[in-house]
Amino acid sequence: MYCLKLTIQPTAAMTFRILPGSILNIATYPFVPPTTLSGFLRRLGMMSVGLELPETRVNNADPPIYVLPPRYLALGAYPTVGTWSGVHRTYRKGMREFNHDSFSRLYQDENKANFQLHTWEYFIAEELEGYVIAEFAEGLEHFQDLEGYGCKFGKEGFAIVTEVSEVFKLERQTVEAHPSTLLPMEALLNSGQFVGGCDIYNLYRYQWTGNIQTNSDQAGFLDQTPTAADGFVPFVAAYFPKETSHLPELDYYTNKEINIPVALVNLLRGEVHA
Amino acid sequence: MATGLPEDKKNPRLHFDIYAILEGSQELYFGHEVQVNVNLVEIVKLSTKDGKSLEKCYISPTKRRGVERRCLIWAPVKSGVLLGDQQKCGIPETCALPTCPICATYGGLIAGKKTLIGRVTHGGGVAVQDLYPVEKQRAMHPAILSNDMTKKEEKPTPFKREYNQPGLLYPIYDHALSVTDMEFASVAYAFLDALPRIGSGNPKGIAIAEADDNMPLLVVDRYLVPRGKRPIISPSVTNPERAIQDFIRLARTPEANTNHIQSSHFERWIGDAALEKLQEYSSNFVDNVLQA
Repeated sequence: MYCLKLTIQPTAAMTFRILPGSILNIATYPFVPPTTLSGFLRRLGMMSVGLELPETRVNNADPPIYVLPPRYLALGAYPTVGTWSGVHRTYRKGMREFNHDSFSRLYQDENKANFQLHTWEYFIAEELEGYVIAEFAEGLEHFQDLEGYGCKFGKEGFAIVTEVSEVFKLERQTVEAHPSTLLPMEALLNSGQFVGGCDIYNLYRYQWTGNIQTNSDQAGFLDQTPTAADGFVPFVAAYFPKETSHLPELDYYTNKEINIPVALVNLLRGEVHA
Repeated sequence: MATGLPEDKKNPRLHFDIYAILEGSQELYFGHEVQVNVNLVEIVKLSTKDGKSLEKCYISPTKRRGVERRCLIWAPVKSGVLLGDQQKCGIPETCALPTCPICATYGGLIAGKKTLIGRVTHGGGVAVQDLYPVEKQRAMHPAILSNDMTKKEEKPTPFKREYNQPGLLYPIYDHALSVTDMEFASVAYAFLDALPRIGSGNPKGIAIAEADDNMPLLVVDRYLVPRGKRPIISPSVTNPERAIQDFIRLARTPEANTNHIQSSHFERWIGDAALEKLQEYSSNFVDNVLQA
């Protein structure tokens, strides 16, 4: 497998909303989910060839999805070891209804107090490391052109790709290692190991339609074609925010430094159902 | 149309960024929550994976965005009305028209019917210095001069309020993607107009900080292809001198001796040149939208 490491510098507090969730408590993942990274990189790809950003329509209008084609799997982005990050939990007055303008009125004859109090979480990070993996090296060089570009990131937030590594090769090995990305819970449970030190999250992946292998290394990436995905499938994953002493022994694509669980790659491709 | 936006061949769309370091000129209040008789400000807590932690004051980008949008809604139009009344565009009921000088950049929503995605994003806001807010005693005084102290409701109600201390530096960023020069004019107007209105209650107002040689710490980029380096200060930096030096060094990469960098599909204005450029956009907004 061939891999790229992207160094991402957020310029704003970010919200990657945990779903399903409550309307009043907006919670964020303390990392970038694979789906969000995929959509972010697709938009940067479109910007890098001078295309305009696609608009997304209201949900019930079944808007097209613009993400990386399944040829390039975005595996999420995580705070770089040794850098600062945190989840900032705060309060926001939201509107209960949208058919009034009392929030912008300078003169209010009767105050209907038409707001509801939200708790809102923001993920603030100094630097993130994201990964893109592919079976073939061809085409990964296009990601180098994304350096310097920035775009909206998450429900709230903005980030810039400051550095894209050279393409490097990963070998499949069964080792005891700290996963560099999320680890599907299914793989951890099936391995029968007792592992602590991880947080467990509910996430989503894309449901691909049709054949996920394409011959072109630019189609669905550096053009305006919507992605052949027709929805989302939930899965449960473990995230290891800190170094732990009991590491899981699993199948990884690894170069000893970066350890990508094979189970995550298979899952995001839609080859297993977890 | 993949973007859903109307085509405008005369006004091509570009990307714009505003980078600045703001300085609190006096105490500022950015509410977080009210505990019993204490109003707290928003504090950001950051930590590293090896357990170090840091707490800092914060100007939330969402609050800046809210002030900027209201600056546009309340902007006076030649006919004597305010811009929001002229456009029938308020909060949360927006007009969501791509031609509206407010919604075009800040976005609009008619729930379940129409969405216009905002193309300006606000960022930064984590203070440089890790100076803790200071709690002050405040009281709501009744406005009577001669007081009958037997009436309970006329006695002042004391409470405490935290304030971000003056002199704090806040690196902030505004990013506008795929907007025309005309549309960016409303962002420039809102950015400049919002500065004296930042902060809840009184006092209000924040200034663009200056370097030792009186250069405003402000950078404006207009581009299709990003070049050089973006003057972004990490929320982990606590030394104000280092923050200012880094900001200037990054802004002046790769050309150190000019306040106007020009290369293919990229233009950058630094310091006074950036302020003049923003003011030029802002006065275009006044001429073409407010006074038209």
